[in-house]
Amino acid sequence: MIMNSVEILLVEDNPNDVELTLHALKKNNLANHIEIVRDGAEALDFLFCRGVFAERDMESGPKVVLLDLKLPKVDGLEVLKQIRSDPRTKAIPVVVLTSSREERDIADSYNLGVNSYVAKPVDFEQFTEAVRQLGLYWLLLNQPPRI
Amino acid sequence: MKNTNNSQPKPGGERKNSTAPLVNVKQVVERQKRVERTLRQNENRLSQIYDVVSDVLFILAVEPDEAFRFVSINKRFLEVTGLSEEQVIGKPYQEVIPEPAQAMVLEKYNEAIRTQKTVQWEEISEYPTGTRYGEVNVTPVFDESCQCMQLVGTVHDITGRKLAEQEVQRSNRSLRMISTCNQALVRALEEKELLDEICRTVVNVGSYRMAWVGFAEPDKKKSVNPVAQAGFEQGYLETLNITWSDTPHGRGPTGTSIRTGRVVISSNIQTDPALAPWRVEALKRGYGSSIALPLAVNAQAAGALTIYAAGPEAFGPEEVALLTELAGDLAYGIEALRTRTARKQAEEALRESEDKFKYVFDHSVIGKSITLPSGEVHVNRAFSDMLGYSQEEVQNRKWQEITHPDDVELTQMELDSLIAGKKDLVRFNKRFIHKNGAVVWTDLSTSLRCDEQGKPVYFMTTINDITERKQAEEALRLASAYNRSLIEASLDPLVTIGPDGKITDVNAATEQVTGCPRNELIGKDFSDYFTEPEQARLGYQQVFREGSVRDYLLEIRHRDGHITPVRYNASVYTDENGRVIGVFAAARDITERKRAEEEIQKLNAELEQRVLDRTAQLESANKELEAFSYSVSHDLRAPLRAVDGFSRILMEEYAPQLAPEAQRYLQLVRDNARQMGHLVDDLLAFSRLGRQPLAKRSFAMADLVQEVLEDLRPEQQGRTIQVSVCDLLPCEADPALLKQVWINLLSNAIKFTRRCEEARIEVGCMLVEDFKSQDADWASHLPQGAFSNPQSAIYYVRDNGVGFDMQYVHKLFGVFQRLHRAEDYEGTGVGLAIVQRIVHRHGGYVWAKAKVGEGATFYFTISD
Repeated sequence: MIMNSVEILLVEDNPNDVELTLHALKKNNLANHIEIVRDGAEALDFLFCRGVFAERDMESGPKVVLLDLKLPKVDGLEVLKQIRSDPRTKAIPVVVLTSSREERDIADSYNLGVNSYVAKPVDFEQFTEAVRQLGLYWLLLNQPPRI
Repeated sequence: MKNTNNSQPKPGGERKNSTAPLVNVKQVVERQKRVERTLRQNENRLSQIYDVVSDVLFILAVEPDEAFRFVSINKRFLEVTGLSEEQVIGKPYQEVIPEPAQAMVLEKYNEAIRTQKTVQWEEISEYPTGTRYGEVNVTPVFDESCQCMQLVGTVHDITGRKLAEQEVQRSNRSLRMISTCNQALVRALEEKELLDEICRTVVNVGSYRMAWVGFAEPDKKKSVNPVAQAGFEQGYLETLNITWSDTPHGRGPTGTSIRTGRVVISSNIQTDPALAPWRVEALKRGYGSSIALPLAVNAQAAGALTIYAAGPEAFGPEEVALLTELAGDLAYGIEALRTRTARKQAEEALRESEDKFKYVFDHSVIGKSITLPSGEVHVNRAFSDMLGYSQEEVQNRKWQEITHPDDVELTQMELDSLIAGKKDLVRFNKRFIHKNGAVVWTDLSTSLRCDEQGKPVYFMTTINDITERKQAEEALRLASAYNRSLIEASLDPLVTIGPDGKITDVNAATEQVTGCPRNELIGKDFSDYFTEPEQARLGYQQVFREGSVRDYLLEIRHRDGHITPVRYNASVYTDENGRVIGVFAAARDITERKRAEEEIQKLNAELEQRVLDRTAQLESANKELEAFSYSVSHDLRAPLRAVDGFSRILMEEYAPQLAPEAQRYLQLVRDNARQMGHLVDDLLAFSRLGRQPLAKRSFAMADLVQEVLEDLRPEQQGRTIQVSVCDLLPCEADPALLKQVWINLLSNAIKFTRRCEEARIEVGCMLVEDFKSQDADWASHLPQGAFSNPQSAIYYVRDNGVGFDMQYVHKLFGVFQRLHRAEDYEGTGVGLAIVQRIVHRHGGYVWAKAKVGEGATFYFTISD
């Protein structure tokens, strides 16, 4: 499979959003190393190199996880929780990228150690801008710890 | 009578004239011889005459130095005197004539010689033959030289006549004496005076030598005490030591007379053996005889009147009878005087006693009255003062007139019981009527004074004004009755308990709850009437210890077994000195209350369950709503984003292939998607408001408004808006929510003034009372509760924008309700709904006033 390291793990069940996100990333040349999973379970398999991702090397990223909250099977907060619970993954930056503007979701996310919370705007221009900034920040500006 | 002593006659002349010359001696001798012869012849003749005359004859030779010597006597002389010739002839007169008469005789002799005349007198002499009265004539015989030679005397015996005379005299004297004495008796006022007077009269009128009255003393010695005397006494009485005992000193006439009550006569003191103790002294004072007359006063020998006469045998039978009568009169006089004195003393004592009584009566501060059977009333000052009358006014009224009408019968009854002799003294409370009409309560006691025959003389009454006491008692009685009625009226069982735990008093409610009558309850142990006696005992003990208990729960057991749950409130009560004397305990029957409580508990439990159920339902609904909102939040936005996103991509990336019309449609799609996004956002925000808890605190409203205006600066971009913010009162609210209110109101104001050339927005605040005074129509705007507190603040935002038609004002705050077309003024119709919801959640009100084209004003209040 692709042995290149993954820079962004996009956890998003809505294909429209996936496409729009990718469109935005691409537009900003940030879509080179994106792995997309469509539910929480898949996301966890990827991150912990299980199932179809068993052969993946845990060392190879991702640099950031863009995590939707409302996901089939395992929801986003659970995924976040497991990421933060495991020493191998807990240092991975996680950005919640969701339609919800519920205070409760925001508070829960930060309590579980999310690095950033971004509500997806309805307005596409605003959405594109948000994704661009996310990509720029987390892939280029942010200096992750060495694991 | 023979002259036996004639040998040496001594002529008086010689005696008188001893110096006569002796010249004619011869002549003298011659003459003498002649005389002698003559004499001798005469002598014989005389001698014969001498002895035949019945009178006494005697011749005394007169010798110098008043010596008179019997020279011749006749036979009669010897017969009368009882003397012998030898005892008389040649003897001086002193030896013949008894001594008592000697002085007088000598005087008469000398008088005869001096006057040369016959001298006559009467003479009493005691001779062995007895007392002789004689009429004596003595004639001097002179010689030639006028010398008195002899005295020739005759004595005519007048004893018989004298005695008769004396008897008459004496009778007269005695009668006069008695008469005088009787006058004295009649006059006499005083005993001593009477006795003196009697004694004086006896002596002076009765011509006794001495008289005295002695009273028999009741002492041991039975002495006789001289109380009056008159006459020649010379200390005689002091020497007497007479008694009336049967002893030598008591057997004299006086003592015997007192002792025996008889008249005792001592005819001759000189010889009477009974007079032995006193003879010498009596004779010295010339007492010859005596009579002692008993004085019987009140039939008792009180003393004796003793009279002394000069001679013996002085008291003849007639005289004795008279004197006895006198003594009887005197005794009667003494008795009368003594009786009179005693009566006087009694009268005096009575008068004094009356005086004292009158003084006490008049001056007593206690009211006193005397009521006569006639109804006449005498009262003292205290009595009349008590009733407000003068003494005369009371005395002019019958007792019934000043007595309270209700007490007349009682008084009459009490008086009757006195009259009937059932009681000696009655005492009762009686009401009088004061002159001013007021009732005067008195404590009255009356006694009835009767005479010896038991006839009522007067009622003596004493009254004390006890009106004040009665009034106090009455007040106390009323208060007591009032208190008792309160206690009895109480539906709560009330008891008082002594320190020993015994019941001392109960009310009717206690009787009912225990089923025991009052008399049975009193004196019993309080604790006996409860289901838990020990608990009851601890209860009252706690009261005694701590002063009171509240809400002490016990159960009273009725004698029929019925149990009444009660709640006791009890406290100690004290006497006037603050000493605890018992516990007053009031029970409240809590049967009903208990039932009510149980009912309430049941209802509460039910209610609680229903609340729980409802809460669960609500929670569940809430959860559903939350889940719904959550879903909406996620799921409604995503498609919109997709619509907008792909439309945009289409427009950007496929623009050259799209006709301008297609591009415009795409733009419309995008606009609608965005609008939908706003709607979703607002709707979610609105729904969140209902769930979010309020975080109230005080803050400065003005600062908040400035902050909001700052935040809204982008929306004012390119516009000229004149915003003025007046003083805003601080408030207590959730600042985050209040901020939303201001945002919505101010952004509306900005929005709806968009078309104004000179937009003006005013933010202000006023007090409710000011608002009311400015807007007469205020009440039509909103519920009255909004203005309940005149000091509450009303905040407002006023603009001069498009305003709205007030006929749609009721729609203004509804969700998704809009009064303007979206083409003119964009919006979702949720903003004011949010404002209202926030204001309502704070307990406030929001309302608006507007006019189309002239702007609008939005008001709101926060809870009072």
